[in-house]
Amino acid sequence: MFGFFETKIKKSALFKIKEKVDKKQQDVEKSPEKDRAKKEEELKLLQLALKEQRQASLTSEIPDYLTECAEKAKSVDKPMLQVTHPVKFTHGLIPYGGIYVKPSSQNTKSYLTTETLQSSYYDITNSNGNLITHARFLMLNLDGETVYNKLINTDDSWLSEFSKKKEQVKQWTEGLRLWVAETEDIQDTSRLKQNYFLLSDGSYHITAPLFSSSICQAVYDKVRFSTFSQENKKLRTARKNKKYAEGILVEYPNFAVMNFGGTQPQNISTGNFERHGEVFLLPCSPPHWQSNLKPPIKRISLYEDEFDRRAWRIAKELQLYLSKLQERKGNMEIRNHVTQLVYQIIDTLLGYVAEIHSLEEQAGWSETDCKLKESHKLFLDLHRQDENFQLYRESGEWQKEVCKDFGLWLNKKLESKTMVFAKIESSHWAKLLKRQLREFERDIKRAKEVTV
Amino acid sequence: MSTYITLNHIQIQNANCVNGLTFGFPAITHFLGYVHALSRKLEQSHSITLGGAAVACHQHQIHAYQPKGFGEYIFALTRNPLTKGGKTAPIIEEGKMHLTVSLVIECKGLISGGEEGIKALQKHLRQLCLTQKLAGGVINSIRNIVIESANSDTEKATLTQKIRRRLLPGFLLLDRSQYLEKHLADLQEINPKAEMLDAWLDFSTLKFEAEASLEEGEELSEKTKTTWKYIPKPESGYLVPITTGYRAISKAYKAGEIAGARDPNVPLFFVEAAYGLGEWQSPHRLQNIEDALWNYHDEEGWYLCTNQTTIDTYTAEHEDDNFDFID
Repeated sequence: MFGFFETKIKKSALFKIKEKVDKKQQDVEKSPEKDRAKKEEELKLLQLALKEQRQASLTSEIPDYLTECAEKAKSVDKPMLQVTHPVKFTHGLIPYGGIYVKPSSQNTKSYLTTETLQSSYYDITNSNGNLITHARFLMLNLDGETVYNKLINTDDSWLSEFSKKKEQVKQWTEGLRLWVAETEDIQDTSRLKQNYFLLSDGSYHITAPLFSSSICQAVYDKVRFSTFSQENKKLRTARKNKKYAEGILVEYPNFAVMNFGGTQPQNISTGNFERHGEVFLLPCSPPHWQSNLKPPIKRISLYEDEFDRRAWRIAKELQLYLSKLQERKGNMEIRNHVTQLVYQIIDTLLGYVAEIHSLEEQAGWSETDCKLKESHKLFLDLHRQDENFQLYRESGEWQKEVCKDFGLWLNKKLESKTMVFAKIESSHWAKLLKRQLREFERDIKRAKEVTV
Repeated sequence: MSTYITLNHIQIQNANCVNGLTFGFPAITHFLGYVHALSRKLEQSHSITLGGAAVACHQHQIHAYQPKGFGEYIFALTRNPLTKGGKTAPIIEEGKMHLTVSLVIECKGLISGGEEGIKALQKHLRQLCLTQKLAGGVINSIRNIVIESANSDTEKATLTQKIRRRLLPGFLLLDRSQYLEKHLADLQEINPKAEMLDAWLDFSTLKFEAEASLEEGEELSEKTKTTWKYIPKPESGYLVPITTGYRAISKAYKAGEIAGARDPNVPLFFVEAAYGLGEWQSPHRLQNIEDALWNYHDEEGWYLCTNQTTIDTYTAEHEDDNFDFID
């Protein structure tokens, strides 16, 4: 309860002192050694003042607030609703309301849905954005249960802490309970999105999607923890400075932020207000390489530079995997896993090559001033208009060297202080590429046969 | 006989790129919706219908930027008409993107008229496909439309090779939602309190752990020489979180039971996004075009898009691709 006043009610006496305490705390942390002792004394005094104010507020501003809140409920004749899916996320002009999905383990599948969330978090939606402080009060968690839930479960014991008089508690209870109600069904779908969904029997259902404030909150908490928590920041700094620190550093790369409610986030829902109107989105786009890709004219080997950059991470993963194997002679699972990782590297290679092939306007780039090995030129400059070149290409002789070079490249990538690779491994990598390369080239041939 | 219609390199402008809590590519429901709309028209005009569709992305450009030059992205907002008072109207944020995709669509029914009939259908489609919006965006152009058939498994394999070559460079979107169940089970073995959210997020996070290289007799401290190692994701492949359909969160509302329903003859359900996983995979590995097709799938309370890839990623494609390392 104190926390609520100290952090959320600006005109509260508690808020003002807490603000000073926090500022002083920061001051202490930033100040040099010699000033610290004095500041810590000042901090102690402020903390004492806070403690005293808490005692004072127990009999003054807190009961006053409860009375005000209970009274207000009578004048606003619309209850606040607890929902996991507030409708206003879909359109701000829809009358407030939503759906409340409870956690459940029935009929779940291999998907993330609101019912699978373990936390029983819910949002609060109401008729007027100005009631935001009251709404935040209802969302306040006291000993594991929100005020809203206490009221709806007719649990009044928490109120006796603030008044000895039974009359007073009764007044509060009656008033406060006017804020809550069982969530009603949504009455009107006019402004909601409605899509037809085709069923297997050829008929349709209309699906009206709603936004899950619950999943949003859960993701929000995780992303914020990763970005702002002291714990994760410490790990991030340690990694940057290559120092040791215990724990796993978690990053959410490339997330986006979307805003709901503009300058008035409370108009959408209370939860939205608490999140400052922010929704964090996770990226799902395909791999995105440079849009200004150029053929590797200045390199001797196609495996240098751009391809090396693209394949680096998977190669590192393979290196790590191999270094952790207790015995080099693996079981089926190990052999498969290694093969899978090499396939992924080959995927990256062929994807890169396909991109170079698609640079048709630059065909013939390997003719002049190109340092690339002959076999690599033949591989990459697919559309070069040169009869001899194309004849050599057709013969496929160049594939052997291209595969051999792949094997050598991969060996080099995997080598470390503790692992050495020799011809037997590089030959094996070459063999893995050989088969895929043959199919790749056959596809090219087939594609030329298609009349479109 | 299996027939496939390929809509090659469809350039889409201003498509929706936000769905639920993911962004960067339109939801698969958009593509199936587009195909279904085409199907209804073709049923009328040519007595054929369309089935599942494979989706490949060749190029994309999201209208978002990083205001700090690093860190989070925000969406570039469109200018809306001013309000009466000359002020900027409150914006409902939308995420938009340009993209180029190809769709390979299953065609059901017989295309009449032999070779001529196929050519005529191709021509018809050239017009028809451009008129529909895709993922909320306008189609600027389609490179070409190809209709091909296969009469046997061997022919289908050859056809797959032709198709996959055409899709390069690019990436196919495949359904990997089944990884979630498995990963959740793995997490719960270590921590019984782990939940689906944790499993799902593990495919979106980058994790690192410190590995100390201790000198002889050295005690672990902050000064110890350390490398930070990347912890691989639970499964291999370029995996992303995606919305794969919907979960019902209400009972059915029949005709007259709720105001504002779009169609009184069709039951209405409130739903929420169901989040699964997708893999962006290079088409050159595709052995059978069927493995890449997405279809609608419904069950009580579920409205999903699924893809029947059952690629067992722990098996090498060819037996002798496996290798025994020798000490």
